[in-house]
Amino acid sequence: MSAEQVQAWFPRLTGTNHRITSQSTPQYNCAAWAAGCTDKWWEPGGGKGKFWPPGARTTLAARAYIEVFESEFGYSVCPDGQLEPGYEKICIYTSPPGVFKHVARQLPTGWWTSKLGRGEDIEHQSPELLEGDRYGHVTIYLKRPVPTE
Amino acid sequence: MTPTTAVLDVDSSGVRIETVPPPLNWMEMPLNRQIVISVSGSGVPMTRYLADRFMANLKSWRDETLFSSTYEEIVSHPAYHRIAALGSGAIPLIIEDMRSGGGFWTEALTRITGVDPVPAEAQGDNQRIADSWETWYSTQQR
Repeated sequence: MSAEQVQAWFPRLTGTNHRITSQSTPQYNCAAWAAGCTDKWWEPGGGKGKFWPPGARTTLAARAYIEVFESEFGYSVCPDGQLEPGYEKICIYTSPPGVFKHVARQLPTGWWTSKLGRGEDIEHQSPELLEGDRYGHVTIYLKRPVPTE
Repeated sequence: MTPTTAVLDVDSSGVRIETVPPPLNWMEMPLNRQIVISVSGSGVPMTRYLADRFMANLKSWRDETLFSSTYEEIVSHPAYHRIAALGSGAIPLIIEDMRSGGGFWTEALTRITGVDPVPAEAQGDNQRIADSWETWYSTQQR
């Protein structure tokens, strides 16, 4: 992706508050990446182009994503994105309220990692750096105990 | 008018032309000349107009949905619909884009062809989806 493309979509990203960490690929999306998966595009709604756990709610409401991260990956809603030892967090962006736009995952460093559509993965200093017209705003945080090996 | 034949070779960086026999500056040729362009390796004839429209819409679609997080947003884009509206003539170009790593084409191809060769277990797997369509396309060439 070019700097111009990044700036157009995410005006708050600068050369020092994010870094690119992968090649671009359509193979997986933000939800899959937040779940630690890189082999499918995770999204509700049916159709061959998207994977969604059988029996899960199939709307594009943020509620559907919350329920999947709770039931499939052991997350639960929490009040904020502060780094907590022993926990990993995700945050969900919505726009308009209640409609899913993006999900990012927190790293042990306190930075966050996001898969940008079919573009690259990036690490970014805070969730707010991706807020704006395209991805809306962070409205929900979830956390789970760091999985043990 | 005498048809002029050129070979159109589509790759991820855009459109290259290999011409047979003399070189042609096809982008400057007047539209009232009949030009038959075959996609490299397939022998499928298509017009300059279709190739132009495909590439223009492909660029628009890619640029404007590059970071879209949802599949629905990506395949709902007007340029994607315009590509699907090009019909069967666009299939070779779509297949070439899939070979180059482009995804999200199953909706357009199903709309154009009326078939769905993707098995249920490939749901959400863009690589397997592309492989399914590649296999289908190969059978159509025989």
